[in-house]
Amino acid sequence: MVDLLTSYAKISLRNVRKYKLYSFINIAGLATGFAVFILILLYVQRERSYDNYHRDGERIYRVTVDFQSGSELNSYAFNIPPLAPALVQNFPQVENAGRILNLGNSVQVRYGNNNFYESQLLYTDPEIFAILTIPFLAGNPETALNNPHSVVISQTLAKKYFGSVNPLGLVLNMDDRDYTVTGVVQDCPHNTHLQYNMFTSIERFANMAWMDDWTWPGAYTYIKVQPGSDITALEQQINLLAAEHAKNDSRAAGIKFTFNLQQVADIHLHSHRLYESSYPGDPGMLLLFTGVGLLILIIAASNFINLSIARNTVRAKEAVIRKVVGANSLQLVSQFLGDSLLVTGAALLLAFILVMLALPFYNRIIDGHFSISCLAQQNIIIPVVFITLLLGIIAGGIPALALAGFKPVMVLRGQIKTGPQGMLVRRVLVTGQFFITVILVISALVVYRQLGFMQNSYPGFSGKQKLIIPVRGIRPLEQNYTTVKNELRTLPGVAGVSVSSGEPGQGAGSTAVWPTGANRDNKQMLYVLFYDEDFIPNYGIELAAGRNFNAGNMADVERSCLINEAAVIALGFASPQQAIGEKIHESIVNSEVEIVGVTRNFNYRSMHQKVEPLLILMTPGFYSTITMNLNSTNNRDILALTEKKWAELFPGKPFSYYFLDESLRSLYAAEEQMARMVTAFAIFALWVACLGLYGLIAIITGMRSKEIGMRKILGCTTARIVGLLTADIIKWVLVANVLAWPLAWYFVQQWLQDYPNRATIGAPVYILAGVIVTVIALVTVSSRILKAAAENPVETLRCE
Amino acid sequence: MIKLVDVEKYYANKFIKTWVLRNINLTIHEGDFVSIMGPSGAGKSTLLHIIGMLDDMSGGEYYFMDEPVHKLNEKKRTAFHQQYIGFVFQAYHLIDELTVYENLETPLLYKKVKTAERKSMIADMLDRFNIVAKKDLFPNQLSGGQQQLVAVARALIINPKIILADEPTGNLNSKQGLEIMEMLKQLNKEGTTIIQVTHDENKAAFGNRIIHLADGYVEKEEQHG
Ligand SMILES: Nc1ncnc2c1ncn2[C@@H]1O[C@H](COP(=O)(O)OP(=O)(O)OP(=O)(O)O)[C@@H](O)[C@H]1O
Ligand SMILES: [Mg+2]
Repeated sequence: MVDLLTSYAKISLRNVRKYKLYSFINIAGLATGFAVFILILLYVQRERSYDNYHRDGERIYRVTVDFQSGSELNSYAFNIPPLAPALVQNFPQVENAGRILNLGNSVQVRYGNNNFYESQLLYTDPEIFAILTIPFLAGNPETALNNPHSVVISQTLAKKYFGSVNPLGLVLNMDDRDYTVTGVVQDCPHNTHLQYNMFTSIERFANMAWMDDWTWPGAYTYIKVQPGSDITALEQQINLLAAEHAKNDSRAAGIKFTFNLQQVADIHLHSHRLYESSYPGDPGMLLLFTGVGLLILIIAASNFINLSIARNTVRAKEAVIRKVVGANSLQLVSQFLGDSLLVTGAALLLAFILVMLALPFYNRIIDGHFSISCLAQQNIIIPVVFITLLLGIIAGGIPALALAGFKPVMVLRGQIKTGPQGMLVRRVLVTGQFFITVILVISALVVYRQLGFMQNSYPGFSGKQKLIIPVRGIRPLEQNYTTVKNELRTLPGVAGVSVSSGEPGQGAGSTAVWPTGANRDNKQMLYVLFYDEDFIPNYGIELAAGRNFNAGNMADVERSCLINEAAVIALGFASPQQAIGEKIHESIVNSEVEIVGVTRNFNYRSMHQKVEPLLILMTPGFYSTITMNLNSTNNRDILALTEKKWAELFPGKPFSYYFLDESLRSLYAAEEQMARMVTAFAIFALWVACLGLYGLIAIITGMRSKEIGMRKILGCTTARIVGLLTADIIKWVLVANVLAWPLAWYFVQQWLQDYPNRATIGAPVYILAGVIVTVIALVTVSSRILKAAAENPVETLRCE
Repeated sequence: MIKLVDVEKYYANKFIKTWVLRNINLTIHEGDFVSIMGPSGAGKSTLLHIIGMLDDMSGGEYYFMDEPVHKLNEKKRTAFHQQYIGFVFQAYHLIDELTVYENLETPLLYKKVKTAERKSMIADMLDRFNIVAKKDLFPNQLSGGQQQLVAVARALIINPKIILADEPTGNLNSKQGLEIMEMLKQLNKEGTTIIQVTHDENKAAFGNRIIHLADGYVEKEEQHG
């Protein structure tokens, strides 16, 4: 048995060496297919693994809320702060409930000489540790947050601030308050929607009015229910409870609240609400990627099966001889299988090597944290090995079965040939491969176009040469913003300074607004931003009517507002002009303000969304961002000067900054990721399809060498022969193009539908894709064709 | 040992039947040395292939060691190949990807002969056919005659009960040809049944029976000693 296997292995290896081209096409193509498949599997597994590790995960839910006012529906990932305690009080099936508040900004953390900004500080109820699985390495989860001045930190932070010293009982200073470390938890896994670094008690906000506000969504709310609870019923009960509370609250009038329970493991992929705690996954994308991965695998597999069958005649003779000298059918079949499994196995091995090499790039593309050890999980190994075996069995099995149908003599007398039908099948397969490839190339082009469109369209303001300095802390600029602005403006190279609650692209909070005049019943949720008087001119935002805020005008600070054109329509004013002088009530400061100006619509969020109604106030308490307009190109000097000035203005606070154009670009990270991914897919598909094409042209020129020789003797020029052969192969690529266009068009329409601001995708994109693919196909086959056409006819004829 | 009753073979091709063998009745006893002669296209190879169970009959009955071959399954035929039949093809049919040594080894592998025994059997064969120096060459590195020697050696190596040889000396010089014939004669004396196809009267004369085939019929049969 062993001897037989050695003999088989020997012959397999000799065949691999003898048919180098075929072996290369097979192994390289399959390895590419496998590698792409493994990479996609990694991605899919990661996306699906989100929050699957919580103990009793099927009983853990996040409670979210929808606000419906008029036609405006806002679905929040948050919930209203008083809900969690009320749930435990009112519903026995709720075992535990806890809130998490993430202020979103960084806090300045100090211990001894260590002084850094840290993000992901969560203000929580102690119950959170009983609901979500957050393993403690030190400290007691039940009591850790009993005291409002305690903090639980991650392992990494513990190391960063305390080194090897036991941090329990030590005191960290965070934003000038002291907190005692009462717990150390494991670092946050990557696969959770709720990223954390530190926890401290939500008690700190106990006195705030909003902690008891049934109309303000702001705290993530998690519950654990009793086993076997009826979730739909619970949802309804919560709705009733909230309605009861809202009845007595004037702020809630006209707003309909609907509560929803989301199982914790479903959040990442299936929740796309406002203020999600992390960027949600996209199940459609998962499906798409899986599909594309399978397609590339299919392309590679069809090359492999194709070539295996092509080599059938050669193999058949050997098999028959073996039969004559005593091999039984099983031994023959197992040899064929072994042979193809050897190839698929080698391809798999190569694929793993490719994956290891590709991982760093892949991590960059998909923003992942995969290490080589991730490959060792059974969710990867099992499907991959399964596919390897399956392919090996198909590719080895088909010739083996075909052989069973032949009589030995027929094979030995050479009476079995792959006829023209075989060639047709191969051509159709290659056409299919190019069909898929063209679709992928078009997709890549379209995603890039849309990305470019969003990044390059004018958003209604100028984002160039703007240095953004976020200022952290509580009401960080309220007292000193005038000084700060004046000081920074004196720096050379600075053309202007403005302060605001955030810069464009950051998004905005929202608030209920209603006109106090004629349309007083028209209550609307408006996005709200806080700008000083310099913001609008510095950003080049145009006014449609009225005026900008005035400097030093106390009336403007307290009683004036700007709105955008979308808000003019939403609030029911006939025109921007008409809105000027009208009064509206807003619920953030809970005051009546007069509309003094209307801005043109500018994109204060991202180009993913259309411009929604916006309210702009001048309240300094909300300023937390400094924008510096720079007019010099020597940013290095300005930065150095700014940092120096910063140290004077905000002693003890670390300086951080970024450029607006960069942060605006990052809004399209998802599209960029998708663009890179689809491009990678397209390249891989093209590579594998070209391998197949090269194999096909090798077979064709081999089969037609005699004919070519004849033609040349009969006076056909080399150029004409090149033309003939090229036409023979390229016509299939063209057919693939024409077939691919309509389907690609359909996909493109579907995808673009989600974008209110979309690029126009015309025929040139499709034609460009066609040209790219066709030219690459031409280059692929050209060397073979030229060689075949240039061959001395006597040579080819003599050897027949 | 072999009994053919009314065996016929034709190729049906678009309503036209091409007859290759007709009405063959033949009994071959253990220890026979049969030579088949006849003009090209007479059906000699076809008959040998049928006897060697490499081709199907179109009609008739065939008994090999009293087993009805026309009713046998694949497994049984394989067993016969492994144990009893050594076949030498007119076109040699060595495995191109294997060396001379490995070609000789292949039948022994299927017969599950132990390594040590296998080695000595192959060494013995290489020696008998004077091809020791060629043992690591591939078939395409050998002359036609050398390939033929290897083909014969491969048939003999399993010590078959019956050797079916289709012009085993066709490509050998007369001296080599005679040596092979002597070798076959010797094996025959030791009890091996031999059926050979040949065009050469002298070589045919090594057999105790000569069957003349023409146009698919048995034209006549001569008996010797
Ligand atoms: N598949 C087939 N279809 C039709 N006729 C065939 C087929 N295979 C073989 N033949 C015919 O069968 C006849 C017998 O062939 P065979 O090879 O047995 O002749 P042979 O006696 O061995 O000749 P040679 O001495 O040249 O080897 C030939 O006429 C050949 O053309
Ligand atoms: Mg013949």
